[in-house]
Amino acid sequence: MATLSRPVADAPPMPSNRRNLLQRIWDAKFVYLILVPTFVLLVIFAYYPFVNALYRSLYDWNGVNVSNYVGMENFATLLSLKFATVDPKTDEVTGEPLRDEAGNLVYEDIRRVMRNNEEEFEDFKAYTSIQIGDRQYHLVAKDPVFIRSMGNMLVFVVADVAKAILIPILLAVMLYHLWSHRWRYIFRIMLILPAVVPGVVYILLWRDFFKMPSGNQQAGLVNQLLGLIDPNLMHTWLGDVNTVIPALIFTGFPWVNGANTLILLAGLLSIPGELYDAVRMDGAGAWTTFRRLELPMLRGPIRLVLVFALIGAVQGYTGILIMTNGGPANASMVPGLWLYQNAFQFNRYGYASAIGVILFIILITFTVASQRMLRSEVEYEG
Amino acid sequence: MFYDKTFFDAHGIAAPTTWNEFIDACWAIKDAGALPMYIALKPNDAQWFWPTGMIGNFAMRSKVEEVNLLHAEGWTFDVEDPTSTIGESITVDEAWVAFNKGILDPAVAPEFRIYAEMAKEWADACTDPQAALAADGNEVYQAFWTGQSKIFMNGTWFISTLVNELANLPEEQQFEWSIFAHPTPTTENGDVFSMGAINQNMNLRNGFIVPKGLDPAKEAIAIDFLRFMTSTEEATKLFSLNRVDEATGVEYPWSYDPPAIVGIPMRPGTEALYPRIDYGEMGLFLTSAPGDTQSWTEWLTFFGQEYLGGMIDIDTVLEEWSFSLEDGLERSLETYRDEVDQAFIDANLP
Repeated sequence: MATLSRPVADAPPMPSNRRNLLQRIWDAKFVYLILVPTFVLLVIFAYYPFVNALYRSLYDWNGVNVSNYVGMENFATLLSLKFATVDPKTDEVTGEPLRDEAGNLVYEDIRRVMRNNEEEFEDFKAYTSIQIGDRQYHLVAKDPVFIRSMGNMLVFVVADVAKAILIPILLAVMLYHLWSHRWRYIFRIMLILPAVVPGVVYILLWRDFFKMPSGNQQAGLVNQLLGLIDPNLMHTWLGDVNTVIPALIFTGFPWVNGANTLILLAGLLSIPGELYDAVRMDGAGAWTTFRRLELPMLRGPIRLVLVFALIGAVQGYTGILIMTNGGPANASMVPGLWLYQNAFQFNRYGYASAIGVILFIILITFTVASQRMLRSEVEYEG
Repeated sequence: MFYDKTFFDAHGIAAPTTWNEFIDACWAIKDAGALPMYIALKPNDAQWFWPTGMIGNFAMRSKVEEVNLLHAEGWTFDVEDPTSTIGESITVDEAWVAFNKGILDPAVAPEFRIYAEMAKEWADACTDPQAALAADGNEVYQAFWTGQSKIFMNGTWFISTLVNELANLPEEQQFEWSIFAHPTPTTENGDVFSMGAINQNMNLRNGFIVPKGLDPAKEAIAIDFLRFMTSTEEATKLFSLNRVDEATGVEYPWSYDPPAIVGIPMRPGTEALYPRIDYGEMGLFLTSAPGDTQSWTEWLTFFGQEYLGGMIDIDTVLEEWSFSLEDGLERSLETYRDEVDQAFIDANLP
């Protein structure tokens, strides 16, 4: 930086710190000038939409002719949850619980219960329920699809983070310990090659892998393999609300992520050889070397991969859009896709902006947490 | 409705004309070990929601005058006269009044229940609902020409694709195709189907609209353009069949849909695929609120995926439908608030 600073002879007197700062800025004016277009574009295309989304999240805005200020109502709708209990129906005369032909207790439908208690449950819809004893406990929400999408997002966050770290670490360590540098190079190329296949192709292939036989069409690869074990194992994985999430998580198996593997491999390659010599002299085996030396030294790359995986899992929806469109029956909905549908299918831009703001808060929380983790750890210098 | 005539003939299945014959034909196809229709219970396959409008409007014909209250003076509905509905439409405030009176409330009006029962009957007989939940709309075309399914609902614009794709298949996989008009419900399916038959071309309301309140100069340009587009000479050009594709050499002797515009002749030498029959029709059957895509998307989910997919029963779907439609109509009243006649609503709803 010293090369950019030079004293200005006729500069007016001012406090030395401030003078030094302004002087340095003036001296580096061409550098700042060159940066201006970048920041102007950043402000126009990144910061302005973001600030506008914050502002619009306070409106009922359809993008055309309706733009009513609603304060925090969009957020209240998104996050409103209530419990409702339903007891079995009873005979009006005897007071005994009513039972159907199979002997099961009969309950009023939760939708009808809410309709009959409109003051308490106005705008609420059924989300999920459990039965404890004879009583049904219903969780109802103003936007049950959003609540479901948040639950799905958490599942995908855990799964995606695990997939983004565990398999790549395993692969990176195996590659690192290959004796042959030539083979290590070949495997690195092989790992990164699939990344050049367009993601859509990959997703469409997996959608076909899950297919059941239909008409004269054969089953997809997954069902063909399962059929070899037992034909009863074949299933419409993407068409069942109970299996669609596990199927989406399974997609991409064995989850070889070339980019993450290379980041982690680069981390391993930066570990000084002396440290390996030291642990070897201490008699450490492969597992101890991994646990005591390699894993701690990989914390930096792991955090990087972790943050990218978190951001992808919170914001991502492309794969789900193509594979299931959030279905069946919204069972695989995620917040990003719900945002997209509200904005571009329902013209509820204000509401969609509110979803975006909530996602932003979640992401910023994750990012700040990971930064704090970074600061709290000891860094190893190479 | 495109069908695999080779398969139908081989198994002695006749092309159906009534709804009940259609259901029977589907079961016969399944008994022969094939899949009648490959559908996707998603927004990008119209096969499962297209009939809703046709059958729903048919079922509701007796209610047209009760709903279309803001009609022109002296207007009456005549099912046998398609022109009787020209210039009339159901507005959001009319729909709101009819919904609150129960005429268009799915939880109350019997026509909605009848349609829901028929749709489920069709889903079970003619499709594989589980596969349909996982399928995507862009697969359904190929499923027909590759023989995966035996019936495919689409427009006549599909003909050229079908002919080309079949020509590309090995000879042993090719089949003779034909079409039948969408089967019509009859009084066997309910008394609500006593006024005419299904309107397979939907109605004469598909077309062009010049919005109210346009600048007179712009209005004149718009009307001039529409007169040009609907002139005999220009409209005839839109029927692009009865030609030979220069690239493939494939001949297209068929006509598209029989012309809907009075006075537009079929091209010389073309063959009509089915006779044009029209009834007076109004778009009454509200799957969703006018101009409200949210209630439409909700309907696609709870009616298509949850109900036809076998996750919820008929009572639940009608309740959901009612809630969703009510919410959607409230949103539409807000969206079109400048056109809503509040005095009309107040006068008709206690």
